Amino acid sequence: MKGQKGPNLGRREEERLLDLARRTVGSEFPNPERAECPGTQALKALARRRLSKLKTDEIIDHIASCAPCFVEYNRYRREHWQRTIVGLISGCAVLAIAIGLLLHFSGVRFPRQPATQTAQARARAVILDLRDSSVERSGDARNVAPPKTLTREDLDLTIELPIGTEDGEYLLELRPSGDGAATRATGAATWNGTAEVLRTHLDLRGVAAGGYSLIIQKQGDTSGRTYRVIVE
Amino acid sequence: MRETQDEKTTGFGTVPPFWLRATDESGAPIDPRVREAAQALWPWAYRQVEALLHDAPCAAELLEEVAIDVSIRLQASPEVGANLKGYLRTSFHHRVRSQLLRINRLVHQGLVRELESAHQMQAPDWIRAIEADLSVQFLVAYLPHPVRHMLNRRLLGFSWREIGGSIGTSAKNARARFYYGVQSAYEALLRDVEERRREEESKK
Repeated sequence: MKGQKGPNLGRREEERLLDLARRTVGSEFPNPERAECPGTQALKALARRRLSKLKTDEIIDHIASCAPCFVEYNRYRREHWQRTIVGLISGCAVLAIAIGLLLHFSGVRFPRQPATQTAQARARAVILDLRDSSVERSGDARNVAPPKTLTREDLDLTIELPIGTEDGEYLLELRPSGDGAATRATGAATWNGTAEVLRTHLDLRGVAAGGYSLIIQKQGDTSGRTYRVIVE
Repeated sequence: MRETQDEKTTGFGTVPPFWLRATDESGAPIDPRVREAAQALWPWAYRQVEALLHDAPCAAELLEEVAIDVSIRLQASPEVGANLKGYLRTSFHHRVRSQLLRINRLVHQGLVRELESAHQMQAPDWIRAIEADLSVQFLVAYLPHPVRHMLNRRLLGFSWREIGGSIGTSAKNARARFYYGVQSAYEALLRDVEERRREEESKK
């Protein structure tokens, strides 16, 4: 053992040393008479770190060499930690509620970010039932039923197509009766058990109100079906 | 707390009355502050000797030796008086452990074995190697009081920043002092074990 250089004590080693030293307190220092024990109030005060420096050193040395005080102190310390953590969590919750209430009653409105706006201004889901609508075939205009109406909104459109329409990808075009650009979209038609439905997204916020022709044409076909619709 | 004390007393014998002579062997008086502190710590000291040495009657003799040493130290270094009881506790614990090493051959041999195995290890593995309770118990008892006080604070959950603040230095410096103190204590322990081994060999 001669010439031993000793430890290069790191943090992990220090923790090990502390763990082992804690274990020895109970076996080395029984103190059944509780000689010189500082008392519950002092132990609690130290656990909360509320003792004067002058007294602290002496009490610390006592606790670390008195098994009953060590056990008692650790109990108060744990309780103190639990109270501190609960207090912090409660404090944060109260603060969050207070801020929420303050903002609510002060009428402060934060400008919305574009991303938030997009997420919040969700497209409106609309069902357009064309199963019994009149169909305009080229040069053959018939007005059997009144035209369907769409609102000038961003629409998630579910179009119920007439019986006999096949599944597949479809092109949609909303063409104004007079001058103006057409609005186009695509969508897939499938049988949902009761009807052939075509789902698509149509943003009508920029179009003018008036009469329109809705042309639905299967991709690859040369002709499609045209329905009269009113945009309001 | 009184109830707890009474319950804990059950199973232990009675602590004999405290007695300490007024002067040391050279005739110098033992400092009255040390006498007072020793008297206050007497039941604690007695129980410790009973638990570790299983030789309660020698408790008074050991406490007297320690009180004389501390009294001399107090004259030389008055700052010891700031936490006299703490200093006395550390000194007494060290004295009891040294006595245990001196009188108990089995303890000595066990410690030698543990330290020999630690010696085989590389420095970073040193603490891992002395995980056996015996080595740590001796190491703790060999810490000088300022380092022992740091250890006590750490045992009670104080951070290095708090410890540094209490001695007027930074957390980093406090930790460095502690590490150095532990290393010195380890070397002191090795020296004592070696000395004890030489004594044994000379007896053969």
